[in-house]
Amino acid sequence: MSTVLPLARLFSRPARQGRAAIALPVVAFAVTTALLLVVAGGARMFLVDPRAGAEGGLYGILAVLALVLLAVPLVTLGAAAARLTSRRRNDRLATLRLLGASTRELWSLTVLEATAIAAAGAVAGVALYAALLPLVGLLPFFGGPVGVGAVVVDPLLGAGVVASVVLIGAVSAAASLRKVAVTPLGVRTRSEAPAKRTTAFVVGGVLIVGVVMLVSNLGALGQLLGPAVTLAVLLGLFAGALALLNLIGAPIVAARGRAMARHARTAAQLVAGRELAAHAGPAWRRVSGMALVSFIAVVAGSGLAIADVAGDAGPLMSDIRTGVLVTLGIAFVLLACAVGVTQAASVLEERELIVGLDRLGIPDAELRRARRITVMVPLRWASVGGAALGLMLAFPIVGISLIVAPLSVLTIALTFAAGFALVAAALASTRPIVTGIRRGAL
Amino acid sequence: MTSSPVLTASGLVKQYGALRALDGVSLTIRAGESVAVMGASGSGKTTLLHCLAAVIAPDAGSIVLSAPGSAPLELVGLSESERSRVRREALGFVFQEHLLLPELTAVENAALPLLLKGLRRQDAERHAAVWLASLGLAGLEGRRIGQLSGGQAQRVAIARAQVTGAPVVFADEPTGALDSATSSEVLDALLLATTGQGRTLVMVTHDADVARRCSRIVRVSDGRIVGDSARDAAEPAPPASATPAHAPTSTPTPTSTEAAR
Repeated sequence: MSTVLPLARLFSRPARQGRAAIALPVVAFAVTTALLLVVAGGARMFLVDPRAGAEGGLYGILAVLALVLLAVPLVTLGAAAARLTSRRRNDRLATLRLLGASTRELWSLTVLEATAIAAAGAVAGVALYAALLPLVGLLPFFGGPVGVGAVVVDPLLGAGVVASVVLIGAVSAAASLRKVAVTPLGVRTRSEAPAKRTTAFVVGGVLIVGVVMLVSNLGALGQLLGPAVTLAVLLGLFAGALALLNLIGAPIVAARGRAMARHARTAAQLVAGRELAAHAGPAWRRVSGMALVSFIAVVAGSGLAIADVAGDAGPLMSDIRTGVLVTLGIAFVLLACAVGVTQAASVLEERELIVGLDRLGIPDAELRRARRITVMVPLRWASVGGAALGLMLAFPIVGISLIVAPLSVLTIALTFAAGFALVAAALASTRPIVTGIRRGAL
Repeated sequence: MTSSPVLTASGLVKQYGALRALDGVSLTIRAGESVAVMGASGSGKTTLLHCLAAVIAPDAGSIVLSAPGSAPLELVGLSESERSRVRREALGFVFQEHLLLPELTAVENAALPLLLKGLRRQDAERHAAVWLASLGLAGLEGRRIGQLSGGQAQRVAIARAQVTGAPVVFADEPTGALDSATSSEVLDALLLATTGQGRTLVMVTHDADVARRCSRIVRVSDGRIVGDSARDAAEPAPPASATPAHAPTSTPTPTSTEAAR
C-alpha cells in the first residue's frame, strides 16, 4: 500500500485528455445512481403503499418487472462508467507492469481509483436524485400525483443503492485489469487480434430459443408451480432473455463489422467496419439500451393496445400506461447517457488518431460518417434484436394487437424513431469535442 | 540547374497569445529538395512546418504552393475545409508516432488517402501494396499495426504519405521514436520514397545525423530563420544527392490516381 497511495495520487492528475477523463465516468456513475434511486423508490412504493394493495399485488408485480427490465441497462451503464475509468489508465498500468509493478500493486491501484471515482459519482447521483424528487412526486398514479413522500427511498435502501454502484465500479475495474496483468505488451501496443465470438453467439442463441420455448409453455408449468412462482419465473425469463440478447449482440456486431470492412468502398466504411470488428463489445454496450426500449415498446405497446380495444380504461390501465411510459423514459435517458458518455470518452481517447486523420485531410463529413456508422449499425441490430425478442416472448399478444389494433404498430414505430433520434442527438452532442481536437484546442 | 520552387513562404507571422512563434519567416523550397528544419524546443520549427503544410493558418504572410501540373495556390486565406482538401490532394505526412489506425491492416492504412480521394478499394489497395513492397514490406500487407515493429510501422506511414503521389511530404521527427539502426533504415525509406522519386521532403528533426542526410538544413530560433545551408553555401546542394545509394534501380511507382480514375 506504501507504493500504491503515492502512485494513485500521481495518477489522479489530469491526463492529456484533461479533466473530462475523470468527469465523464463521474457523470455516468451519478446518472446511474440517480436513476437507480428513482427506480428503487418507485418499486418500493408499489410494493408497500396501501393504495397499491387494492389490485391484489398486481402493482408490485409490475413494478418488479420494470425493475428487472431496467436493472440490466442500469448495471451496464455503471459497468461502462467503470470501464471508462480503467481504460484511461490501462496504458499507464501496462507501462507500470512492464517496469515491474506487481499484479497486486496494479490491482490495488485500479480498485482504489475506480472506487474513489464511483463513490464521487454516487454522491453526486444522490444530489441529482434529490433534485429530481419533486418531479418524480408529480407522476400520476392512483388517480393523482403520488407525492414526494411516497417515492422517496428510505436511508437503508439509499445506502444499499450507493454501495451497489461503488461495488459495480470496483468489480468492473478489477475485471478489466485482468488483460493488463496477463498481457501488458498486448495492451500497450494494442496488437491483440479481435477475439472470436462464435461460441458466445451459438450458446446465446441456443439459450434464447430455450427461453422462448419455456415462456410459450409457461401455462402448463403454471399448473404445476402455482401463479406466484410462475410469475416470478416469467420475470426471471424476461430478464434472462434480455441478458442473453446482450451476449449475442457483440458477435453480431463483430460479424457485421468484418463484412462491412471486407466490402467497404469508402474510407468511412472501412474505418467503421474495422472499428466495429475490433471493438464489438463496447460498440454493442453503447447502444444496448435500445434493445430494452424496443422490447418494452413491442410487449407493453401491444398489451396496452389490446386493453384499449377491450374498452378497459379504468385507473389500473391508466397507471400501467404511465408506468410503461416512465420505464421507457428512463430507458431512453440511459440510452442517451450511454451513447453520449462513451462516445465522448472514445473521441478523447482517440485524440491522436483524429489529429492524424485531420493532417491527412480527411473531410469533416467523412469522419462524421465513420463515427455515425459505428454507432448506428449496432443500434439497428439492438432495435431489431429487442423487437424480435419481444415478438417471440409475447407472440400471442403481439399477434392479436396487430390484428385488432394496427395503430399499435405506429406507436412502436414512433418509439423506434424517438430512440434513433435520441442517439443521433447524443452523437451530435460530441461533435464539438472532435472539432476542438481538429483545431488543436483540446 | 536550380529546380523550380514548390513552396514559397514570405513574411510568415504566427502569434500564440504573447508568444510570437513565427516572426517574419521567408523561405523558398524547391522541387526535389530534402529540407531539414532544426531548432531547439519552442523555436518555432513545428509551427513553421504546420503553416507550410496548411495545417494551421499564419496570422500574416503568404505561402504559395506550386505543385507540378497545377496552378500556383495561395494557402493563406483558405478555409479549414479548403486546407483539408489541399492536404488530402497535394501533401503527404509522416509523424513521429506514425498515427496509423491500429484496427486497420498495413495495406488498408496505406490505401486510406486514396480511398479519401475516391479511388476504388481494389485499386487503392493495389497501389498501396506496390508502395509497401517497394519499402520492404512485401508479405506484411495483411498485418495489423500492432503486429509490426516500430520501423515497419513507420514505413507503412511513409507509404501512406506517398501513395497519392503527393509532390511534397512533411515529416515531424519521423525517426524520433526509433533506435539508431532502425532510424537509419526508415530515413533511407523516406528519402527513397520522396526525393528518390523527384518529390520534396520537409522534415523537422532534432537529430543532426538525420539532418545531415538532407540536401539542405534550415535552422530556426525564436521564430526566425537563423541559418540556411542553401544560402550559406556557395552553390546550392544538388537535390538528387538525397537518393540513397542502395535504392532499387526500378522502384515501382504507382500510376497517378487521377489517371486511375
